[in-house]
Amino acid sequence: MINKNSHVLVAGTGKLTEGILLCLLQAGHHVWWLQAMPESGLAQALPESIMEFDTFDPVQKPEGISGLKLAVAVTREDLQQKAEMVAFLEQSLAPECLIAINSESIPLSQIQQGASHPGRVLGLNWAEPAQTTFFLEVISNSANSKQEITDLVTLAREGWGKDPYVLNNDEGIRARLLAALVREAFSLIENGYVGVEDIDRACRNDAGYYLPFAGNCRYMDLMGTWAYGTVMADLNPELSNATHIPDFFEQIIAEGGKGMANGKGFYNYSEEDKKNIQESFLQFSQEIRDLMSKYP
Amino acid sequence: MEFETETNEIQVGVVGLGLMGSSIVVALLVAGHPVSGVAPLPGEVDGALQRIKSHLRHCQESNLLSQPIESYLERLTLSEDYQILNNCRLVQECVVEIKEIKAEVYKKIHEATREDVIVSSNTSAIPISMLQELSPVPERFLGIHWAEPAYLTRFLEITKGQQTSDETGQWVFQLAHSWDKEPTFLQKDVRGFVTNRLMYAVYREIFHLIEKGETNLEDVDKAWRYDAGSWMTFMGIFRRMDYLGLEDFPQICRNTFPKLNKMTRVPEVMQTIADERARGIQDGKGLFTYSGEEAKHWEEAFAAFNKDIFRLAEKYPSRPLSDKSEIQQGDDK
Repeated sequence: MINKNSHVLVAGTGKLTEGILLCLLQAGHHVWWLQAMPESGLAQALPESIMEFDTFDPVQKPEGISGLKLAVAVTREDLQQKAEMVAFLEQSLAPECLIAINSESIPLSQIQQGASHPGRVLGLNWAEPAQTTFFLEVISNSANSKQEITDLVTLAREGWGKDPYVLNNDEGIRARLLAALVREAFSLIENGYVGVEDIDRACRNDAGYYLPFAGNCRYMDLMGTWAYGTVMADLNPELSNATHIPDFFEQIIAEGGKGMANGKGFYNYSEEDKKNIQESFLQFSQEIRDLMSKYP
Repeated sequence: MEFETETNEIQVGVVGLGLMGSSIVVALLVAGHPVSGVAPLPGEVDGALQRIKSHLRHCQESNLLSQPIESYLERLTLSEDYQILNNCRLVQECVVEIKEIKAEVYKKIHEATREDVIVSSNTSAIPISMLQELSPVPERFLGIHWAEPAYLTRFLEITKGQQTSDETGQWVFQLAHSWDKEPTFLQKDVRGFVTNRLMYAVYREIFHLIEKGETNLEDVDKAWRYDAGSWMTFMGIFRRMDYLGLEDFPQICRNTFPKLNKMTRVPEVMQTIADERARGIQDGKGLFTYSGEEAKHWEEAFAAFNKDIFRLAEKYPSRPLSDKSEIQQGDDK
């Protein structure tokens, strides 16, 4: 059974992966890091905070690591990349080793297709920075073993500092909630009501003041519930039902905008902006975790 | 007495000194303005003054004041007489949501004060474009909507109506920055505030997922609290996307948007709650149920949290980026 002493393989690169590595190392696991797919080139430099763990080992191939119970994988949101990742890991991993891969919007069953042991593949989504957030979304379907999912959830709750929730129906919900927000925001901008900055201010200065305490359902109860129903009668018919991506976002992507990574996104960032925001957010993340731990 | 900003040169007025009005008076005093407060209802002045003093003490405890409380009170005039508005550049209306009453208030404001006055409404029920037709000078009328407590939150929505002039909008938007607010600036009316529309879009999807049996109240709350709640005090959704990297988002949007709910009705569970007027922790009946003790526990925890989150949010104000020239905007802006 998977537990705190189990060895874990992590495959992926980037900020999210670094957070996952830290989370698992802090939990006490021996962590083997496979830098994504073999063809993606040389290993990136990892932060000192990860390298200094005695229980951390970078590897080029997932072969010959005995006793692995779990492989955590992070890829782009692309079915082919996910399928290739699963196939690559399956070559070397014993059949009882779970493969937990991120997927925001691709159904788990599609990723399992083509796997030799589909039941070992499950969806696992994190929230950046993964070393401090409570978030963990576990996606399963009828191919998975209920017991294995339960064991993983127990480990995440007791060992990883997470408060996970499980979906049994092939798809996650986090992406749906975020997409609902983004769709409405896109529509308000596209129709000339507000700009990008206005949306961000509205997020920070309203929901930013209650979401760390409670999700929206609990929040409605705190505020007196029924009035929300009457507002829904007015607002639901007027909310955006768009299925397209607005031109202004298409244009950012077409011009090569990658967000903070290359300084071009919904906003433009200098190197200094990027550094300030990242450092400040990391500090904030620890503080918000501490604050959230104080409340139910 | 010296205030650091030019706000001390700008006389502003507030008409309607109920709970919200008193809170707005304090926000404007703290920002440095001389403030004239008009109580349209007889006998309202005394209660308002007590509330204002109490709010000022709260400000002092929260380290928001640069002067002794008395200095702020010296800059405050309260009366039932609209004539005290005679030198105001901006008058905020904060009276009951009844059009006829508001129309009367706008008329009295314009009779009492200078010709170039800008009048704003705190309405959360009536569209600004409709309301400004009741004003004698619609081009200098707009919405300024505050959240409670007005002197503490960063929240402010400024809304231009169809007839509001650009100069009026810009003047107020600039001024609001010296109030220590981060205003959302609506170029035109939309039903519901921006923040409401964003959150009701999420509510709609939440209830759809629950009705379909994909998830339940507890889990959907975990998803949203632990994801969005872990960053939204620090950054909005677009900054968050920039932070995570944009590359995957077009694909995620393409996969997800067509699946999102388009419900125009009220979700069943919310309809039942609305019919029963269930008031959550106030009467123990809501989306969750509460014993008297549980309700009390939630209420106390939320009150304690509110203090904590204000303190934390204050440490992370929005900092301007070095290059603001090319911020992406919608097509019409």
